[in-house]
Amino acid sequence: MKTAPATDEFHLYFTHFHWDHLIGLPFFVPLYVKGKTIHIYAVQDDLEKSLETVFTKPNFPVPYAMVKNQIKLHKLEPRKKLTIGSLHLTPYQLDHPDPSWGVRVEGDGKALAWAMDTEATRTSPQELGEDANLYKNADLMVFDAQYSFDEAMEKINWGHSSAPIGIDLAIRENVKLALFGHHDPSATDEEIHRAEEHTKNYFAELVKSRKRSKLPDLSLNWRFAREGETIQL
Amino acid sequence: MEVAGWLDGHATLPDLGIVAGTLIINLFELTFINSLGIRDWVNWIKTVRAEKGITLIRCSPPFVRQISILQNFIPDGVTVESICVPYFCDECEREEQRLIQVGTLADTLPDDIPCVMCKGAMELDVVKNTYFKFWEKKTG
Repeated sequence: MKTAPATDEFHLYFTHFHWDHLIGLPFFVPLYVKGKTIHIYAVQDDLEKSLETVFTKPNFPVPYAMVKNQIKLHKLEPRKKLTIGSLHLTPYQLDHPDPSWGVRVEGDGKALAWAMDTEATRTSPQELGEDANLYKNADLMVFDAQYSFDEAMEKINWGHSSAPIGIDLAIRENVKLALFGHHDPSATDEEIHRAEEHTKNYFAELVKSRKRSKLPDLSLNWRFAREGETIQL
Repeated sequence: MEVAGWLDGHATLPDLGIVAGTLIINLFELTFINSLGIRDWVNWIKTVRAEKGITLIRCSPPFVRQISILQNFIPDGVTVESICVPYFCDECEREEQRLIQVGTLADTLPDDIPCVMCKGAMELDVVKNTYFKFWEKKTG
């Protein structure tokens, strides 16, 4: 957050507790501002223990005990809806080590499917079971595209996916807009751009092959996410 | 064996155990493949054990196009013998395929052939530098 919102209540949902998701928490300024409450939501049983880990010397000088009173923990039940104000959150399991829980957020007749940190090894309705509900008819799906498709084929059980897999999942589940992120931190801009170009070629070929098979046109929009982007649903 | 129809993440490819001799896979009737199907295909073919290797024959245009775009390789131990090259007549909205063997140079393929229906030109319906990429990489 570049500017502090005018609120005393903050709501943070954690998909899982790998470092790249947790490391920013000690630098979340409202934690240290009197009168602010930080609601933290997660499915994992060891939520508080995971948070304590980052507030530990010598890695961080402020102990967890000092911020504990500002934090309110909420353990979510898998695949059970929770309402916060006008928003409804339902966690669904993703395919990632430890594991990661994606979330469907619904409100004002719109739905967001958050599916970062997933290898999407389960893709058929049979494999996904109830977890397919994460994606169904979502207005926006934010999907893990850390790798290009051929990289993802090599990196089995690394817990991340690629944009073409997300495209096919989105088409089947009737998603309106798919946004691809979690780009590989070790990739250059050029490599990410190349993965995007491959995805464009892949999608163009899908469109053509559907036309050849006289199937309905695709209504899916998709793009690679950019830093600082705001999406209006 | 023959792999026909759609490979879109719903098909179950068979467990073949150890195949005596060469396993020949005919892909002529494979009409659609997406990334989920390619992932299943690649994972499956890695598990197939054929004593004298695997040969792909009559690879259909959907297979060749998407493999070329996404994967750009055929796993070790797999040989491509022939692929189908599509020509399309805009007038008749009709596709015709020519079977070509590995070793045929992409540059020697005609850009169009006569349509037997309207006598007009059927145009080569592939982008040469991508369509032949996976096989050139495999054989070259």
